[in-house]
This record gives sequence, structure tokens and C-alpha cells, in this order.
Amino acid sequence: MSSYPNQGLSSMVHAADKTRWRLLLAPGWSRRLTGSLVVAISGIFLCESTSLGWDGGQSVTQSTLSNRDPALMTILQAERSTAGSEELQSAWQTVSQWPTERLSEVLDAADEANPVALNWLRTAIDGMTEQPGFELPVNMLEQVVQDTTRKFASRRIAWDLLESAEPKLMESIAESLIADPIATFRRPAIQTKIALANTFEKGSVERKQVLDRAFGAARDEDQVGEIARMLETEYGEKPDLATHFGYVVDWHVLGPFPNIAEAGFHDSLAPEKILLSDFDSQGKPNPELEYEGSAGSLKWQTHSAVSDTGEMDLNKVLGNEKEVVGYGVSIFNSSQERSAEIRLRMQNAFKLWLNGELIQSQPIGHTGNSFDQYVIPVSLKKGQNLILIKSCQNKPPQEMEWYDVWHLNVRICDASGTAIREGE
Amino acid sequence: MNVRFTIHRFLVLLLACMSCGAEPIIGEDFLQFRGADGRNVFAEGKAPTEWSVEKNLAWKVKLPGRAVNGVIVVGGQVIATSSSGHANDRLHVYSIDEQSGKSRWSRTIYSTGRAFCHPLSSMAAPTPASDGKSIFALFSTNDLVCLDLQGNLQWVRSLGMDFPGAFDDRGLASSPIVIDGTVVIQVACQGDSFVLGVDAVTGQDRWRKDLPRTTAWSSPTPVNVDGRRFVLVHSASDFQAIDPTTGESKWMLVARGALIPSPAVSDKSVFLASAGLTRIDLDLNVSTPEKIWSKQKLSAGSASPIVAGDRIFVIHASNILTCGETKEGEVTWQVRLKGTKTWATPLLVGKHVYVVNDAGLTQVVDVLGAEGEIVSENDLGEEMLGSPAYANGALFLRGVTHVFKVAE
Repeated sequence: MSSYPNQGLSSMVHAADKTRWRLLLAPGWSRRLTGSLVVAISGIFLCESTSLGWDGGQSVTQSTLSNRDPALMTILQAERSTAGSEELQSAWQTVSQWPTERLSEVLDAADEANPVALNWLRTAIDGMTEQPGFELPVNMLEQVVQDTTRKFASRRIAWDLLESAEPKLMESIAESLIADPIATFRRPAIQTKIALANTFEKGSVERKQVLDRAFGAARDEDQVGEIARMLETEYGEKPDLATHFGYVVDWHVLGPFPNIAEAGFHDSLAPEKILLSDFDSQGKPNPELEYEGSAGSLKWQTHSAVSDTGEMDLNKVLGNEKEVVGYGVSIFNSSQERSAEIRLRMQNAFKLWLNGELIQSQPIGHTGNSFDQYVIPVSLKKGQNLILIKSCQNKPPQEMEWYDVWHLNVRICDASGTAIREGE
Repeated sequence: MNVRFTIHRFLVLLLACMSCGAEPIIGEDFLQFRGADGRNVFAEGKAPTEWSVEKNLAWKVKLPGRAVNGVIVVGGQVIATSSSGHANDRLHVYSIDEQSGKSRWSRTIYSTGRAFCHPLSSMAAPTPASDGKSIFALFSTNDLVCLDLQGNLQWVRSLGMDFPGAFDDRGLASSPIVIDGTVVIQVACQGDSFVLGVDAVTGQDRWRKDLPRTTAWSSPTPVNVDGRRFVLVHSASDFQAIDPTTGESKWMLVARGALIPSPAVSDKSVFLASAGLTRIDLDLNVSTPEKIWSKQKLSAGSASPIVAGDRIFVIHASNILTCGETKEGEVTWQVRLKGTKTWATPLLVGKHVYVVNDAGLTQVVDVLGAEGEIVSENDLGEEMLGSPAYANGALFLRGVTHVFKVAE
């Protein structure tokens, strides 16, 4: 196997007890899982825990497993090495033929399953629902969806089953999920609010009340944008998107530094040694700090990102160049020690440090441009937190417009995607 | 050029290519991207040339989510995949009864990998594959699921978890193939790029080879050379023939790729989207096969070329269908197609080439004459990016939300 140039990998791992499962997940999971044992690496989670199954934060002990049906126990222990085992296939066959009454048992197991085992369970549930005589237990599933103490896995399965069979019911359930801790479930609630707003006359007070409520609850970029546009065009109010999303707007930027043949990504350059002590109480870097860049001496410059998008265009402030590295640094004041997520939309290869610790290293650039493309669970300390990001512009392999992008785009929020504001 | 001779030779070679060299065809199933033999050529077949929502449309099935891949046909079932949800993280496999269009079963899994892509694409970009006994559905999240024909889960792999450095947030799209009991997956990206052979029965890795760290969307291609089977893999900068059971590379050439089109094969040659289009003759007795010609005039856009007899059909980026002859690579004729973009690989059935553009318009081109002639235009009014399938006298078209069966 080839090595992946992911420098500082070990430094990004929060050592968490003894490893039983070592799972690498997509950022989508981080939006739904609030587990304290989740650590992100390169936009993909590296999880370590003492649990025997994936629980998103709650350990599954051997004794818990032993109380389960043997078929479920077998499935819960599915992993790469057991992919095609006859024992697993047999367990799947067993569960897929269970009657309606045992669906809740499978949903409970789903909340303890690692991502691979979850897919064994999910498809077994499909098999169950196709058995002759299977009747969807609508009330039970409705309760599961609305039970915010349950894990994402069972709630999502329950939602999916109801959505395909009881779309009208789901509309009514959706409304109750507007403040759900998981953004996935808020989405349909916001959709019902937008639909409700559209039943009122444009410019009416009733419509605005609904839109205000929807805007406050919305977490997905497209929904927030849609509501913001309605509020602005109809009521002349321009919502503060930077505050809503928690974009880091105030940056001190530095560059360019050389990135010939992408060596700058790997090189540990002088700005990476910056310390919190180099900043004053207002979050401004020492004006004496000076660095040797690609074309002479460089100092930190203060610039603001576009508040609606969080976009800090380095081409505009550091020069439209290729094969260069730029840095951005920002101080975030937290009123308390707390868990949080740093989320990025980054088209460039980058490295991210929090309080001097490398927490993300992403060597791949120009491969997509999505909201919350990288999600990194972090711990903020009380007081000033130093966020340092290195953004690497490479030599474009082709003449394409998107290769010109050289930027920073960072926000700070909690696991539900709700912005954490300075001082909170 | 002697037109009569050329047409006669085209027909003879068309028939010949049906009878030798190709992978065994199980019934008339369409088992993977570009069919069981990876050629998308059915010279002895017959399919409707005209259809609409009122005519020759046997059935139309709406599926949740979005798909930009093609379907396969196996054991009386049409297998389709899609992805749904705001986060593209619900991944579906559907079995549709080939005759009635009714659902037989469906399975949903949840993405374990990165579910980002260009808005045009979907996590259901790779076309599934089958060996006639099992179905192998790969998604752009690098989730790989194996089901039997009754929908029973045989195994599931999270290649995103196994190989976390292999992704492209624009969306991967290379389709798997199954050959000699090995499912071959090509994940060519800027990260930990690889081609992987997975045991079709156990789901365990048989072999894995690194690829250049540049994204490419082309698919592995089966080829049969002198009775030996190989998988052809074209990455961004090289081209190799791999033994599907051992992963051993028989040979490797430097060949900068066009990144999206997949290789087209005939019995003795492969036509590669490199330096325009390059013909390479396959010979097991040489350590490095010979490049015969490269022609810029035969460069392909996004759709893969197809070869039938001594003719090659290429769709340019400017949406022109070009027919060339394989010996020297000279252009025989060109036809400007309607629309601006074609992603789907063209399909040859009988004397017609079917070209499905991204707006869902299929232009049927009679390729038997001295010039290509568009004989019909069939609009199903739905965005279509996946390649059409042909089985049992019917066409199976995949729109982004519907599957269509076209049959007389």
C-alpha cells in the first residue's frame, strides 16, 4: 500500500482508551454524532474507543451484546475481515425474516452498530419489510423518530421507513422537529415552515413570523439562503449570515510563500511557529513579526472575509499567483471550555492548527467545493484560541476556472451546526 | 475508398466480433457497464428505433433520488442504483422485474465514505456489475455491496473506511467490472489512488495496486487476448493490463489519459483516449504492446468510444459523432448531433448506433451506409447521463430519476 502524505497524523489523534474499533468515517457522520470519542483526521474520522460497537459516544459493552439475539450479536460484530462470512450471511437471513414485532429490537441494535454493521442491519430491515404479512408499526416508528434521546441510526431508519410509506404523516411529524439536535431532522421541518410561509401573503406579518422562525432554526446552507433572500427582498432585512453560520470573518493573512511542486504543503514554514503570546488582548499579532516570503519580507495583514459566505479570497489580498502558500490566523474567544466543531469549505490543500496543535492535514486540492466539506470536532479552551490555517495553491494541471481558487473558508459551530459565537 | 467493400467488410467483422474473443454472455443479459464484454456492441441484436411516452415504451419506473449511471439486466431483473437525501448519503439498489417493471426488492445502505460530488453527479455514478449470480453495486462514496439475485446481502465493504485517503469530492464515477471471480474497482484520485481486486464470493481483497495520484473517471475494461483474460486500466498517465486473479501487471505503457472515457476494445486492439485516440495492438508475446497510431480527429469527449468490426465510433466534446476506420485511424464520416453534451457511451445494436444526450434525447444513427444518417430522434424529456443497456431485444434507459424500458 502506498503511503498517504498526511503529516502529523499521530498528533491529531486524541488518544482515547484502548482501541477495539478503529473507524474512519465521512464528515457526514460528524454532523450527526456527538460522541466525545470522535476525532477527525483529513476530513475523515478516526475513532478510538473501548466499545465493542459503534455507538457515537456511548460504549457498547460485551454484556450488552450478550443480552441480544445471537443473530444480532453476529451482525453487530461485522467488520472488514468478516465481510463474506457464512455466519454473517446466515445471521442476516435470520433477521431479515423476523416479523414486525421484532423491528424495535433491530432498531435498538442499530444504535450500537458500527457503520458496516449498520448496513447489514439496514438491509435486513428491508428484507423484513418485504416479508408477506409485514405491517409497518407506524406508531412505534413515529416515537423513534421523535425521540431525541435515541441515536441518529435508529431515528434515521425509522424516518426512512415512514417517509416511503406514510408521506402525509411525515409532514406532520416534521413540524415537531424544528429544534432537533440533529440537522438532518431539522431540514424537513424547515421545508414545512417555508411551505407554510408561502400560504401567507407576501409582505404580511404572519409570513415574516414564520420566516423568522425558520431562519433561526435552519442549518443547511441552501435553506438558510432561500429564507434570507425572502426576508431581504420582501421585508428589506438582510440577515447576518456570518453570525448565523459562525463564519470566521476577521483574519490576519500572510504570504505568499513558495509551494514549488507542492513542497510547501509539507514544509514546516516559519509562520507555523506562531504562538498565542504573539497576539495582544485584542487578537492582533505583534507588528514586529516579519517573515521571508517568495518575494521578500512579509508581515501579517488584517482583512475581512465576505460575511455572507465566509470566503477569504487570498488571490485578492496576497496576489493571484500559483504554486504558493498563504496563511490565515484568527483569535477566537470562548467564554468557557467546550466541545465544538471547526468546519471548512476548502478547495485548496490545507493544514489547520488549533492552539498550536495540528488538527487537520489535507493534501488534496481542487476536488470539490461543498458547504461543511471538512468537519473537525475540537475542544475550545476558555479565553483566546489560536486558529491557524495554511492554504496551498498548486500549479493547475489544466486551464480550468476552478483551479484559480485560493482561499480560506472556516466556521465554528457545535455538532448540530449551530454557530458558536465569540464570548459564548 | 471502396464504399461497397468497406460496408461488406464492416458487416463481416461485426458478425465475427460477436462470435469470438468476447466474454461469455449469459443469455442476453447486460451484466455491467458496456455489457458483459465491455464493448457495447450487439451487431446481431434488434431494438426499436422509435419511441416516445406513447410508443414502444414498455414501462417507466420512478426511483427515489438521483442517478447518473446505467442499469444492468440479469436474470429477468433490471438492477438500478441511486442516491438520495440532502447529504446524498442514502444509497439504494433496486430490482425491477424486466418484463413487468414492477419492483421485486430494494435495499438501502448508508454512506460510510465522503458523499460529496459536483451537482451534476450523484453517488450512483458507477454502473453496477454482475456475474450472473451476484450483484455488485459500487457507489461514489466507495461503498461496495454484494447481493444475490434475490436481494440477500452477501457482503458489504466500506472502501472509504478501508482506504480513507482515496476520494475526490467532485465525485468518483468509475464502474466496477467482475471478471474471473474478481470484482475490479478503480479509484483513481489525487489521494491514495488504487485499483483493487475483490474476491466476488468472500468480499476480501485479492490484490491492490497503486495508481498515479490524479483523478480519472475511466472504468476498468475486460479484454480477452488469445484465450487469456485481462483487465485494462487507464489512469491519468499510464495504461496497463492486469491479471484479474493475481493483480500482476502484464505490461504497462506511458499513456496520458483524457481522464473520463474508458478504453474501447476489439479482438486484437484497444483504442485509448490518449493523444486524441490511440490504437494499441494486444499481443501476449511482447513485453510492451505497440502503439499503432494516434489521431486527434478521433478524440473523445466524455463518452467512451465503441468499436464494431473495422469501425470506431467516437463522440467529440462538441457533440459530433465521428466514425473512423480502425486500420489507419482515418475519419470516414461525421454527423453533428443535436444537443450540447453527451455523457452516455453510445450503443450499437444491429446497424444502428444509439446516442443518448444529457437532455434525454436519443438519436438513432444508421451506420451501415457510406455516411451516418440520423434515422430517428426519441425524446423522453428527462436528463440522462447514464449509458443505455440492451438485453433481450429491449433498450433500458436510465434518466436521473426514472428507468425506461423501450421495446416493441
